Amino acid sequence: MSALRPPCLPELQSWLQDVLSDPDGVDAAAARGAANAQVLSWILDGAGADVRTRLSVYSDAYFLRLLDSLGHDFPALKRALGGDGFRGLIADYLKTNPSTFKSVSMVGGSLFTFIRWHPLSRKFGFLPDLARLEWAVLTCLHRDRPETADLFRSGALSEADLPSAQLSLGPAARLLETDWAVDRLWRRAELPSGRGPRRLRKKEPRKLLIFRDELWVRVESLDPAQWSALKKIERGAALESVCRHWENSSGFRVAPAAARKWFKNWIQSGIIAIRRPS
Amino acid sequence: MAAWKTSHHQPDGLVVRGVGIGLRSVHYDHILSRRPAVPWFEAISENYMGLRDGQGGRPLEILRLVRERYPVALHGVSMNIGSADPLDRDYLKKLKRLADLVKPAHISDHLCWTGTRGRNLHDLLPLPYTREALNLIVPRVREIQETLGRRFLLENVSSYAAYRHSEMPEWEFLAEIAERSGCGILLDVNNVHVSATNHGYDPLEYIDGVPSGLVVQMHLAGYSESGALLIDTHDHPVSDPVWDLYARALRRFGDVPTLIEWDDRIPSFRVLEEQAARAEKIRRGVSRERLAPALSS
Repeated sequence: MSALRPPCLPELQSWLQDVLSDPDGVDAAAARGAANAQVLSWILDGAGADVRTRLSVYSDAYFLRLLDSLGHDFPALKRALGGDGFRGLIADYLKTNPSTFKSVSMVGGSLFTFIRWHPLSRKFGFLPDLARLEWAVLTCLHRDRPETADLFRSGALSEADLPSAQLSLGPAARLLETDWAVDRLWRRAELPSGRGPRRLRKKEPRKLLIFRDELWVRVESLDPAQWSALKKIERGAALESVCRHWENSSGFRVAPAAARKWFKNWIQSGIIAIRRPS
Repeated sequence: MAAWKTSHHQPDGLVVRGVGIGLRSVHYDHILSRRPAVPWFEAISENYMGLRDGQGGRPLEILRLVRERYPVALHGVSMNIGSADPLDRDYLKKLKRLADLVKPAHISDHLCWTGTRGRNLHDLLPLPYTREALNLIVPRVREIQETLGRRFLLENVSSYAAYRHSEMPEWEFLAEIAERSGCGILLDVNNVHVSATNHGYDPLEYIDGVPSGLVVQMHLAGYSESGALLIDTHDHPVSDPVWDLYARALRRFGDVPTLIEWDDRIPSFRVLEEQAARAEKIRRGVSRERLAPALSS
């Protein structure tokens, strides 16, 4: 039987949200508190379905929708854990990280931090690195590439300006240092689970470049000279300063022709952004 | 307020006609490489707003390529217009930025709430149809239209739960919001059928209860059955009862643009074109019926 006064909108929505997002389902949520049980009394039953059945449609959809979306955003993680393992991880994640975002694509933004402390990571040490890589891929996909080529075309920038031009990493590029060769798992993300390894057994450090090309996102493993150059550029170094760094570092032997090729490729690919000369 | 009422169209006069198809990522390649003869596409707004920083990245690039070839409508799922939380003005700014880039024929979202206390359940949750809710939503629609500088459309949602304390039927609630705010109605015919079945009312009463001049666009989709309830899953073809209801809606609301939606277990583009062709056939049949008296006199 309903209470005498109907709930105002904030009360109703607050109660319903608690009931519908309870990881243990509508019945458990209703049993958990008088307020949750009270909200049920304001829902109509009849037409062949009781109140719990009706609310369970929303409650089930909440978890399944986010599970499905996160499965699309973290395909290699899902492949590594299998359907049940991934489902368990996401159930735990959503308990402490409910969505506050307008887009479902943002819901996984804290997964790599969460997974570091999850028991699964003690069993499979590569999981945090893999989640970090997949989030970086998604982030790059949703960033715009720099319009460096346009600066050249318009004459605002010439090749003579390059040595002293202020460089930065392009907005759709990321550098990621990992303890595990998770790029190998990422490349196999779309394969059926029976084909190719799903897991890594021993550490193999990687220096990874993630960037958007014209169609989608690419992940490349960098050698130490490339990595050190891009790290300096990430901090805003000019091209001439990067070259000096190579000359002064005994570990790097970079031929000028190779360096020119790298920079040309990085600029054309939007990996490096160039600040317009003032 | 009433200024928005005078135009069904966007400020630069772009109009969509006929039966469009929902733009989904699995069909990007087909649409851009084959350029199928589709009169317009509808894009989910949030998919092109980027992540935190509002850059649209590759998805927005693709939408702009589609827009170069076709008229586009923007359809949102996260305006959260009926929430007890304040209207999210940052989200509204991002929508405005997207609309300025894409120049859509329509901008719409749902008459529902999606979360409160800053959270998002990513679902279209039903509102109690009360004066309290009306008085919350009408000024918000006006603000949205002022910000966007154009008429906004609100869509009826499918629902599986209704409230004891609702004070009016859904169609009266929807119509009063549209009349008081000047917004248009995006009538989802499948949602009318699903909700009518789930709550035991007559879908024709719903169609006949919406004033004819307010409906600016219609949606068609498929549902699933779960026990006594119909679920708006968008993973099946449009059902026969919904095709019948669509013909009835066309007779009442006239030849408004219609969209085929399919969001889960998405089939080949050809299947969507077949659904659109069936809708088009019904449209033409109803148009002929409407013209017949004039031609015979």
